[in-house]
Amino acid sequence: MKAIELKNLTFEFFGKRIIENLDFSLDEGEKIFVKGDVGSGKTTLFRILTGLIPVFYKGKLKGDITIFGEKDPRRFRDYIHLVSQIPEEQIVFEDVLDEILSASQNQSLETILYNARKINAEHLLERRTSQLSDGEKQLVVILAALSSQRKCLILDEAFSHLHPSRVGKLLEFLLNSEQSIIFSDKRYGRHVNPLNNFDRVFDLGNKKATDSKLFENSTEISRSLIETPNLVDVSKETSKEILIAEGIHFSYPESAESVGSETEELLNGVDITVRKGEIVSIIGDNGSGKTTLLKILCGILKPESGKIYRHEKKISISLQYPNYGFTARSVRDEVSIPGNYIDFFGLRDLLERHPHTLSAGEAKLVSLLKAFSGDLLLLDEPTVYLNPEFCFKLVECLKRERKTAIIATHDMLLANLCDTTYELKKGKLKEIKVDGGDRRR
Amino acid sequence: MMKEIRLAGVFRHAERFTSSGKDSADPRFVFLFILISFITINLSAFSIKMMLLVIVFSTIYSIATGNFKRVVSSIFVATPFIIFFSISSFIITSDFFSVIRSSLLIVSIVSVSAVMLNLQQKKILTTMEFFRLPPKICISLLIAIRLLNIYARDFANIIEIHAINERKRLEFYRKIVKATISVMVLRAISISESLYLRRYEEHSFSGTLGKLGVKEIYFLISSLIIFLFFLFAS
Repeated sequence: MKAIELKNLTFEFFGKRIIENLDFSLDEGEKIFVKGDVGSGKTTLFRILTGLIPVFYKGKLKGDITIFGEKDPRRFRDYIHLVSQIPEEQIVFEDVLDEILSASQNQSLETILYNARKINAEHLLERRTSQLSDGEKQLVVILAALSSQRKCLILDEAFSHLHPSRVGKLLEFLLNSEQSIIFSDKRYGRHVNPLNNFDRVFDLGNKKATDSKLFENSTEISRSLIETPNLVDVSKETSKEILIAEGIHFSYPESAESVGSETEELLNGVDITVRKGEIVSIIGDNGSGKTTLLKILCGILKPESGKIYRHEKKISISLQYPNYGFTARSVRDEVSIPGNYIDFFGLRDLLERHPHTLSAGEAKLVSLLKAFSGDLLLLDEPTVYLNPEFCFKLVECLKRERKTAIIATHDMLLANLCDTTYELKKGKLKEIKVDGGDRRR
Repeated sequence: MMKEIRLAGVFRHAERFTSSGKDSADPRFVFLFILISFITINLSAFSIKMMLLVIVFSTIYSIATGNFKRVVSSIFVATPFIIFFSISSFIITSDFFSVIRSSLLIVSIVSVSAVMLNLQQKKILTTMEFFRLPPKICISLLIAIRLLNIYARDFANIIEIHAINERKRLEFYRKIVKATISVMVLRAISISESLYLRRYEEHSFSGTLGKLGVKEIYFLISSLIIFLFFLFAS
């Protein structure tokens, strides 16, 4: 008997059919890679598996669902733990340890420490969730999932905010566990054949499981875009400097009760110069201060010392939680891009939708395009939750519209497409060359 | 709109004020202190001396336990309410002492709240379970306190983003109101979903309440002094 079995599953929500005649199964201990584009219904499928649909979210659900011998959706959560796309939305408690313990069903502290060491997250256990970066939050929710002792873990884009150096070890630990794993990640499937590590690949686009070769090399998909002409030349001699930051020092104050406690300096003398039309990427490990640097550069945070000269008045920022920025009733009223880009970014079907009804990837896309109202764009993880080839479209659009952009990212493909790449490490910013060499012409 | 970012700073103070604490004091004694404080303030018809006494005891404890930043944040949080209630009070009563009374009432509420918010959340939960409150009620109360902090942070983030992205002042204020309402609802949904998935209704923090120590004795003595002051001096 299969551990998880879905037969002829159909789900309709407010008249829209999201899943149709789906068959899905999983054996106990099996590891499956789920593949699907933005809006393909992955998150909906995962919600059905955990019982969130139909217990928490209503809709028309038909089909036969059995989860570890259980047919009552209210019991599904006893067997399955879901790590969803947006870690910010999953975290409830302020102390990391409380957060993990609340999901852990009284697992021992030793086991939690063991798991934390295995995934290089031990340093987070004494911290507060409000002080963590999105990547660190993602590590916390993964740690909570491991501590939950459920028979099956669903990881829905759970590595999207993690630095690539952390992914390998974390994935190896997960794949060696006894639990069944259902894993979905657009970036992971780009450079590695998922069949190297997973038992099966399930393509939600085709609605059927297959172990045949479904992997495609995404860098080949858009090679023509790399060669796109009319990329703006950003040479030091001709382009005007529009943002100069010198000697930036910054550290976050500790929580309310720490008086006189020493805090480690997050930014320790950061210098950066950005020219008009330049696209700059900033890479770095989780918690290195990339988002903090973006916030300082746009003026949200004040550095402890250092100077910033901004010669561009129209600045816009897109942070990692898109919902903060949505205020219109439709996507059409939110975005600020010329009409010819509507089809370029695949927005046609989304224009009349309310922004809060979008999937994570769709919301991210709209949030990004909303930022195009500025001339200097500060983008935090712009390609997360989106299809791999999106980075080519983003850079092309930025160049055609002659926007200047500073992008904090873990996406090395995106970093490769930028004019300049910096690495933020131990509080210092250093210009580096990503694979593929210098992108300037 | 860089000036509007300063508005976010007020809510950062609110976020700091409502953040969970690490104070290991036994919440039963803290709750006793809070109960005695507010009962005596009410029964003394909001006597200025009573309120000052409560404020002094709360503030001394907060500073002594390294909670100074929360005290500072509490001043920022309390200021708009102090201004509002003071003005209202003066308009209604035209009495200067009434204004002082209103202000001190707000300050006493905030200073006592600072003491309570600085307690470890699992100890608060254990105390509620000690008083035989159903687990569902306990965790709901804890989540309510937690939401104050989350919403303060969300509001600060919303102000910051729109202060950068928006260039017209009226549009800015309209948008932060809209975004705040949306985010509050979405946040409630996502937290509910998260709690549902981790079966929060069955969860209890296995904690101990500790023995009588210096902090507990402080609260006992403070409560006694406040009570005796109410009886004989106010």
